[in-house]
Amino acid sequence: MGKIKYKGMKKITKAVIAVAGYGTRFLPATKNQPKEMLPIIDRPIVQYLVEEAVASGIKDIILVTRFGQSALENHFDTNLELEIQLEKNGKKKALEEVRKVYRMANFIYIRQGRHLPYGNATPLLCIKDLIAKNEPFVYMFGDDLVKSHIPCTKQLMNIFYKYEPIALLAVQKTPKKEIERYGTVKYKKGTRINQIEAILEKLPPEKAPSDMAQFGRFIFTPQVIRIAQKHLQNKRFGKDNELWVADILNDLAKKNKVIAQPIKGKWMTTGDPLHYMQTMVEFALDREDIGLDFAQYLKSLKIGASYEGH
Amino acid sequence: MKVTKAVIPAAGLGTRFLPWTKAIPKEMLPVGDKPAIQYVVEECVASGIKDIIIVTSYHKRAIEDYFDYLPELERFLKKQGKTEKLKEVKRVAEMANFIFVRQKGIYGNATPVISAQRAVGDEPFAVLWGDQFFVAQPPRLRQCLKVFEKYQSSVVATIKAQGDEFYKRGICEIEDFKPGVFKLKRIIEKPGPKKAPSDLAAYGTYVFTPDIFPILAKLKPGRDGELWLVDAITKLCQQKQVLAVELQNARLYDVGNQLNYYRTVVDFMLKDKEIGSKIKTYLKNQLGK
Repeated sequence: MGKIKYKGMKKITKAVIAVAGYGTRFLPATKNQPKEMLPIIDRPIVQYLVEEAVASGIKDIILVTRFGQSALENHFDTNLELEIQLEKNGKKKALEEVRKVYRMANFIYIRQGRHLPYGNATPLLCIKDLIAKNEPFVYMFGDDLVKSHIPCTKQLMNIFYKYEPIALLAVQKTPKKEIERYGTVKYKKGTRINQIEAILEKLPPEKAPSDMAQFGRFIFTPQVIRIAQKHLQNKRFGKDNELWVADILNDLAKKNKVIAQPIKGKWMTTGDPLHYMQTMVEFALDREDIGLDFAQYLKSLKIGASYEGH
Repeated sequence: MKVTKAVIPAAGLGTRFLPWTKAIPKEMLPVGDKPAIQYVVEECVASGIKDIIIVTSYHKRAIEDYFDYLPELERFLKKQGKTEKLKEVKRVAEMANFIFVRQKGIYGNATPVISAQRAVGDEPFAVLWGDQFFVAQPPRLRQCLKVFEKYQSSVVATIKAQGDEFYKRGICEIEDFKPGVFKLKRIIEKPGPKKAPSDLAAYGTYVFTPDIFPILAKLKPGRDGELWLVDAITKLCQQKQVLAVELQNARLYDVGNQLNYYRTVVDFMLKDKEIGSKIKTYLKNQLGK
């Protein structure tokens, strides 16, 4: 790959959220709903992502879904019957919440076809016609949440506009014992803008090039889609015969600027039952309405050496 | 006569969980790796029930799909070699014979029972709410059915009320009958501890003889203009013997509001074989802060 230049770049207004996974680890609960629709307090996980994108100035939300995920589309749609009933019952606050959901952004859905390979880069193949040639976009994994003062996406956008990399990914410092669950980045020597050489997947801590783990927030130029298409054409698949974002970015990083930006805030994944539960607890404790009562309940469990369950 | 049918009302709006409940019924709130309603169904099945009649409304399709086969998903799991999950996903559809009816009529918790009448027919049947379940030994419905099978009277399950439950639950007025079984006179809604006629609270589990249907047919709207099952039960008590059973070894799990839902979730995750100990460590650290 030669070095790619792009001129007349458009502003970022689109966020692509990948929600086409099967959520196998949550079965049977996710039998007929995507795992991104699992609740955290009173909202599905994916709504927190949409809210982050919208708070960062995004106008169009592109959700890459699959067969059997109509609950997701219905969630971001109007629900007149419900609204009429809430109005009749005088539930103003609930009505407002329900309406806010579909007024937040312009929602676009595209299906991930079954003929495509699996992998976290596959949604990029599906959205190719929705992104202009000079249009960078936000790419999100549907199960990663970030608690931060400035929205994570906004932080990335600021860096993107400043340094104009070909691709930008969010990273977070991660405890050693957890590092092998994630991809870690190898930074280029002598760069002050967090440029990377490569992302290395799931290495034990002693072999990991850094303690900065990659998670599901990116800003990509359309070049990233082109490379994904090339990988598909040449049947260049990675681990488990899947199409991986890391493999594509590693291709690009050889000759182009790929930046791994540490985020101010806290990344929380919901991708497996343990982390989903932890995220649920943390969000519940943060809530004004139930936080205190919930904390009291947790304390009443006397979770110590003696806790044996009920 | 043996009871083989259970009615599970699941047509509520789920206002307390909006906007999440915009597109997903609250009965589908996950507890551990299963939706809450599955625990209710499993209690029924473990008690000998064969036909599960779920009363739903227009936005509850997800429940029907959940208790069905999903060939697309099954094919995927087979391909991935996830045999355990595949078994579990299929088992959900095969647990019982599922019948779905739509709720029609005015608001109230008696309306779903009226809507289920044609599906029930002229037989005794059980009613259990879709958003609360018990972990009990023997299963709570079995405890009720045991009493029903012996006396052939309608049965209401109760547990001892504590603290503010006297303000939140229906409390039973009773007469002694047999150990752990009482004759029910009526249920008084939210009487408070001073006016409470006993300390037994009715807990959303009923076994009815078909005698309830003519009463329901004539039932007038009560509090808030809604149709209340409690009003029908009080009428039934005047006509026939109705028994109240105090559930033994039973712990209630309720997902009806956010706080109770979170309590339930925490209890179940602490019990989980795979993640329980990790969650325990995590909570210890959280609380230590």
